[in-house]
Amino acid sequence: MTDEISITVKLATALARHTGNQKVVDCRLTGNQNLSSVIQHLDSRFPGIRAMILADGSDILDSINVYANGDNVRYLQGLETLMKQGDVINIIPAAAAG
Amino acid sequence: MIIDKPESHFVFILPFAHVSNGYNYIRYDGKALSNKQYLENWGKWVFFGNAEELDCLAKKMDPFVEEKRIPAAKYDRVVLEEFELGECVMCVYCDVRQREEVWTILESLGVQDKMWVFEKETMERWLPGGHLLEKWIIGRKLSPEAADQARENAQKTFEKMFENENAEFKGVMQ
Repeated sequence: MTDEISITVKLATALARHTGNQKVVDCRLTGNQNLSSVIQHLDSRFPGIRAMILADGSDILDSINVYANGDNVRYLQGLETLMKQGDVINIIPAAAAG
Repeated sequence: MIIDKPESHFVFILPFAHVSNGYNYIRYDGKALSNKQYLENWGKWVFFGNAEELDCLAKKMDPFVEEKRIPAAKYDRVVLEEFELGECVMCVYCDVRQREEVWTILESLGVQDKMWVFEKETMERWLPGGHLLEKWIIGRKLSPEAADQARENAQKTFEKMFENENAEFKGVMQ
């Protein structure tokens, strides 16, 4: 039996327009999962949001910052960053960091 | 103290000593940072709120800034339309080596969103080709010539600011 983990995804207002203004989304994932799985999960619930976060080549758009527990995932393992129970992911327009 | 000048887009929370006595809040462990140290270590916690929420938070944060437990902060007076964020942003500045102490204070004041940004990241986005500078140029509807001038000015300003990596960092004009 594989453990289920719960990840909280928080979206900035500009991105929550694509989730019916839902700014906090609880993602339940099974097994060893990474950030890419979280975004896939998000897209399965809110089709099209993946394209707001990732470029065609599945890299994070330059205009978007994704944080795992406070750290920009560009300084971690990017989309390969492993998720664990209770992680908090913030997704914001990079402009907010200016 | 809270510096709230209507002509400025930002409201600042700065130590009184910084405003009146030449104290430089860009420091760590009692020592002002050099340009090199600034690019390597200085950054900010970033989070969102509406103007009223951030005004309220600023008042709670101000005593910690005066005690120098939080170096400085600034926030948008109104939502900046160019970037389509739909919210005001607050930046709380500190050295990366003290960020957890600062975060503990912010959390005690009710801040929930935890996002760390190095200043170097921000500066790179305001250099030619950077996402923010290019978006700003589009937002201002600059002519191609004016856009090139803006890019050149940004590059020159950056180079001048950091030409001596061992000099004390003196801050960014806002």
